Amino acid sequence: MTGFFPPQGLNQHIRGVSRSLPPQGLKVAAPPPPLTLKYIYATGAIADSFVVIDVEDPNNPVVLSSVSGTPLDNCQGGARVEGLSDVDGNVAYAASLLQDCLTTVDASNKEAPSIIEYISTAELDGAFCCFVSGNYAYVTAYYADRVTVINVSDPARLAQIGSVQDSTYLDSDMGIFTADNYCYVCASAADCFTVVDVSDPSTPSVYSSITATSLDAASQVYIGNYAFVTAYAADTLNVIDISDPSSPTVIGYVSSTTIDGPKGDYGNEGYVYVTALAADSFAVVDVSDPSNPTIVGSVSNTTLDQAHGCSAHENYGYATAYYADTFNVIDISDPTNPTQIASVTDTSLDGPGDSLLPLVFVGG
Amino acid sequence: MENKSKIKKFIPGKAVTANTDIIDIDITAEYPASCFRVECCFDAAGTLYVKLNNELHALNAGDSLAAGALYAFDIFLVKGETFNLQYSVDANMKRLLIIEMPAEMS
Repeated sequence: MTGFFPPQGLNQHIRGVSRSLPPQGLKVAAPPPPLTLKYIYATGAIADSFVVIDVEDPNNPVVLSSVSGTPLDNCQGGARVEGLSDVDGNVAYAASLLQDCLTTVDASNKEAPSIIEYISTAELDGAFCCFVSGNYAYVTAYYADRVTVINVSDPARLAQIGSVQDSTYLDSDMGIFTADNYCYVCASAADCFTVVDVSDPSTPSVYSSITATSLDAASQVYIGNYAFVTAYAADTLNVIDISDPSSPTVIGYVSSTTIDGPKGDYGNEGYVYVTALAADSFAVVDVSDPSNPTIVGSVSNTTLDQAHGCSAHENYGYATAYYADTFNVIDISDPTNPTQIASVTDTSLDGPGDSLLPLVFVGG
Repeated sequence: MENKSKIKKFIPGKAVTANTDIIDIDITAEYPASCFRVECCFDAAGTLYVKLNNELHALNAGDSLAAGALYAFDIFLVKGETFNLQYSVDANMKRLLIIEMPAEMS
């Protein structure tokens, strides 16, 4: 039997875990089996660690392994990766705030991850979050007020190729998400959301920005049809229209004690999930009407004490908690009644970081 | 000011110099009676002080904080009072989180 197979490495998109179809008119072999979420990566900001968590059984997550070391000192989070790397997760990325570096981790053996390499530069002073797309990692730097581009095509030979500094629009920048030649960045001290043009990775430039009281201490961003931005001093989740990257516009936000001190967010199927460190909560926000985001459900308890990192896939949400040193699984099949179904703690999870938790799939 | 808890300062990590103010601008109490929850972690053992009216007061009963351990302290102030923090040794501060709550809530 002959058949057409899409070239490996092309046209798989992790958001929504969709696959493109081959050109019409060609015979197609049996569709590949669906991808299964198998692992989530987390970090320990106090433990200086990178942690692999087996989540195949959502009722029984297992801290499978970890690696720690100076290049992971005060690591705020592993990188969200766009594209195939996220599927196998064999190479992971993490930013170290106190060592001012980006670190690559060999996670091909999920039971024994190891540090491959790190790059430390003045431009990475206070490295906070990173997002990997293609051959590049885009890294925010909390103290340098910068977005820096690192070539990660060879994880063992990292090279800085570009950087942009702006003491206003990138002031104490934290969360970052990359899409379509732009980096979307939260500048926590400037209360603003900034778009950085990275169409030429060697010369990134601030393209546009918006400042608002609802963005007071903007910290994390997730990009779907809109940008969804948490602000931990304003206690808000903001919806920002980025259809015109030159003019981002806040079109709605929700503020509530339910999301007191929001630190993370993640989107999935018309909802955005928010972790809140002061409310110790994981909340579900209906964003079907982007001008009127509405909290429809939440869960709060001691194992979510200072909820930080956040991710979601299909019927499950995932949250780390800084003070509780935990990784938690929340059943979100009923958005109005999110229910925590499991929690795990480990010394390697001491003070987990607060960026998007990278998801790793198997199968396909 | 709305009657609820509020994150007044979040420093995810910073190199601190011994016996020097850690926070760039003093924190000011905004409620008639405020409780500040101060959460911190350092990578070296040392004594943490709160500076009130230019006087240093040792926290943790004057005992050293253990390196790499996360501590939480409550500091009660009235509206308008200010405070800062100092550490007795050079260290990397791995986290500082300060939440202000109305004292009646604490």
